[in-house]
Amino acid sequence: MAGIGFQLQKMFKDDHFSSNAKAYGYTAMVTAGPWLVVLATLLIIQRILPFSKTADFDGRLVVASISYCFIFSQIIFGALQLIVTRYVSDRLYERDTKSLFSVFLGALIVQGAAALLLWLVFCLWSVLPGMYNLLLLFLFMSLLIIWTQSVFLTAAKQYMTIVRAFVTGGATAVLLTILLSITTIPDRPFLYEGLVVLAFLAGMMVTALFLSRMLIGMFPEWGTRDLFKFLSYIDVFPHLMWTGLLYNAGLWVCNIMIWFGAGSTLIAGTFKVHLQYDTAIFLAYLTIIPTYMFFVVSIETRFYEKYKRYYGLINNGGSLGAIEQAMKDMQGTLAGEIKRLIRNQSIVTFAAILLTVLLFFNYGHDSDFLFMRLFGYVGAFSNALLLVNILLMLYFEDRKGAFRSAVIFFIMNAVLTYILLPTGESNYGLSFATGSSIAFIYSLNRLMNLMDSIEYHVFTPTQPKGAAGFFTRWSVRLSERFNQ
Amino acid sequence: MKVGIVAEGSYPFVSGGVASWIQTMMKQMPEHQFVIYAIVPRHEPDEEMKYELPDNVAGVEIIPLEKTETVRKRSEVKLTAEECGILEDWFSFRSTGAGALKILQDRSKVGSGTSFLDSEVFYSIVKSCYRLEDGSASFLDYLWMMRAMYKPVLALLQEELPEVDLVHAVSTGYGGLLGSVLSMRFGCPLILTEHGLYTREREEEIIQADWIPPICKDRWIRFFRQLSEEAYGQAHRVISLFERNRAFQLEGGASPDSLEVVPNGVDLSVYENLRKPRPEERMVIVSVLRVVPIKDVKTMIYSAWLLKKRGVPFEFHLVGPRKEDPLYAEECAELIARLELSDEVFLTGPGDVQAYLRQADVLVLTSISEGQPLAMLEGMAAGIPWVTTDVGSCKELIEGTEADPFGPCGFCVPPVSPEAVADRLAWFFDHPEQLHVYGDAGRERIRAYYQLHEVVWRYQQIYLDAAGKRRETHGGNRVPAAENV
Repeated sequence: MAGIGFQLQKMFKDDHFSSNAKAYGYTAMVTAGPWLVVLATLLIIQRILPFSKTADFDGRLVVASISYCFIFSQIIFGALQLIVTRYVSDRLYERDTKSLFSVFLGALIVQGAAALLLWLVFCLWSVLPGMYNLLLLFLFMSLLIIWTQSVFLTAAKQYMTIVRAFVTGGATAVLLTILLSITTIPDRPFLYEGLVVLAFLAGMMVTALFLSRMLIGMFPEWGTRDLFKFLSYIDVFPHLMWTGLLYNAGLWVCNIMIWFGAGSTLIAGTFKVHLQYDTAIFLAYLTIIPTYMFFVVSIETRFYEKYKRYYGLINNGGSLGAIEQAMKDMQGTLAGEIKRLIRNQSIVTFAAILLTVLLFFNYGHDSDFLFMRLFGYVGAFSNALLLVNILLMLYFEDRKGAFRSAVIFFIMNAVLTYILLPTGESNYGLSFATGSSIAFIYSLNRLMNLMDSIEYHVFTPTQPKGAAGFFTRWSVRLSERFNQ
Repeated sequence: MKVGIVAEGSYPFVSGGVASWIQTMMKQMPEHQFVIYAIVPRHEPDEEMKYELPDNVAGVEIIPLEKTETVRKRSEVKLTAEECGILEDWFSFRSTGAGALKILQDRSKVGSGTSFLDSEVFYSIVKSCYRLEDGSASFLDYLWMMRAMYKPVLALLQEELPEVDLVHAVSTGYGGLLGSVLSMRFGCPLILTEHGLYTREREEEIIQADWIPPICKDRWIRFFRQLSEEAYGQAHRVISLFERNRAFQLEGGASPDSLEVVPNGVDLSVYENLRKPRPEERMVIVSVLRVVPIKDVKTMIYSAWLLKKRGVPFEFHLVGPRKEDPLYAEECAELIARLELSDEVFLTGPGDVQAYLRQADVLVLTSISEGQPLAMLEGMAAGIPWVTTDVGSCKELIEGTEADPFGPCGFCVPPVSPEAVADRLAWFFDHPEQLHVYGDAGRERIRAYYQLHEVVWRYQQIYLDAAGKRRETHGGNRVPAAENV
């Protein structure tokens, strides 16, 4: 008798068992930590400069130069950070360590090209000597290198060594700056400023060397095949690129807009800055160091263990009963850890606020600066926890949720700053605090909803993956060109 | 009247008993127009038709089970709690019936097939089915099995098809399901003809299939059983070819009032004077078949080997297509070579059946499963005796029912027993005078019970009756569909 019976075999075999859920470690999170060390170094150097023996120099130029390199390297790196992390994570999952070096090199080349372009634009605008500009390019590049290095090392979970490398580099920079401050330097324009930037660059290079030494062990092969293949992931996971780019741009968009508002300064005819606001924000970021540390401890260990167990049960033929038990366990742990993070960060932020207010009453300062700092603390609090939520959404493959959170963060910060800018310096920081908090609340809500229906999402591909497109074609073309 | 024929994996792309039957019936009823709903495994644009479409075929709708849905924006699933309950009962085999099918075919309710299978509603249905069934197997595998199981079902249910006045499904399974849903949608009667027993055949396949984890086999079997129940429940007439299958249909849930037996039929005049007058020195054995495992060609080859060992001079022609399962055909060719039967056994490929009947002394069929093979009726009509296995209605054809006086037209042997086949063939060689005695009995039986014009007349009555029922109760309760539309 007729019937499709026998042919059915092929059909079901294709579909069956084909889709295993996979546990991801977006450990990239921790790469966000080291930048705080760099920021702290900058702030310390800022404090040392006034004690210099050399009298005639502009310390603000040093700070502005380093801040610019720092901020724009973060934004460029942000666009690729999650793409590279995901690509490396997939390669490690497939136990393909051979292609790691080419990804590393490819990522550096792409970022280097972007940095070079940005720097050329800067040169058109800059009135500084060519040598000084060149020095800035080196600093810009070396920062991109260390951010990229830390992605690979966090994938290998070498957190403490990373922190050590950054601290050593920072200490070197600080020491060299102290040395410079007690040395008599000939009085030539931009020489002293250039030397301090060079000291900072030296520190960053020490960090890069330390990280390189660890990285070498990670690369079994030094091939340069398919250097740019990772770019095809932009087609596959476009949300990842936008999330990284918009989150990092959102961190700094308020500063950049305020550089053009009331109270801003043009330093050495080149750098627009707002001295008080920039400092307020840099200081505020130092208060979220605890969240980064707690995140590593609580999420990467306690939560990740439950998360891996849950996915492990699904993939290794666990029964529904066992899976549900593991799920409840994971949900409970996650909720607990988030609460703990919020509580700990609240304590630190509250203490910082209290301390700042007390200092204000004791020493007296300009009240605009006080409010910038207080708003800065609130904003930093929100965006640190926002980042935690974004990364957790990525753990559960909710790329759309992560993307939306980053979009809200960026747009809210930009729009509110634009609206409030004309109201003057007394409101600086308000937009940062409000925008960050709205994004944080949105992300928290989204994450909670996601957790409630997590089992359904885990078993169902929520978003169709993107198809090969522009970036895939270019990744192939570029890789071939490079190998010729 | 416009009649929609639902053919699963047969007409017009795969030749065989059912497909030939469809072709014949359509040709014999020029007063009706036909639309073919051809269910195929997957869409193959260059698939060539094995039959020349008669003039009264208004169209062929090709419906692939495996459909690659283009990734569009996910359509939403909008179901009430009550509807979810109906679906849950259906998916967990607690109910059959129009309710669930009606919901599933409605894109405004369940969205596209993929969006439904990816929805939270379906996920929670899968969970409760899992709990009802085993509850300890890998849930991930279970979920994917469920998605694989129902993807073709949703594709079928949601297919947009041209309207007809009567739906005639020629199998249960996916074909029966499509027949049921079309009959519901168009508010027209469904006629179901089963040549074999779909559910039983799937069951055997599933039990043997090693790619299905044992834990899932039970669900697959029950799934196909449910599809049959849907068709039996919806059908105005449930027709089998012979008594034995009627009993199985009753057992499978068909209502006794709807059951009817209509055998296959052949046009006797075509086979008049085909038979050769007397046997020659070498006995000529012919088997008309597709070279596929279900026909158990290897048993045939072994029986030839045994016959050769006994010193019987013979030639054995296996006439029919080898393309359907090339691997199996290759194995058969190797077996012939290995048993050194190259001078006796010939895999001829498709050929002119009547030309072979002209030469044949005895005809053989060793299938492990059959309905009512047309090839047998043709051989009987030509007056040639048979050796067959006892499957389907073969015994009924060989020995006749109690009432008929014609005597046997050959021998029935158990499946997979080459010795018995060789025995019977050798007996015919030893008793050449019996060839025509047996052959005549077969022809008489055909004349009495299996004539094509009789069969056609029966179906004409069934069609008219169904159409009458539709007219008389338009929206009434004889046609189950009418209640639901």
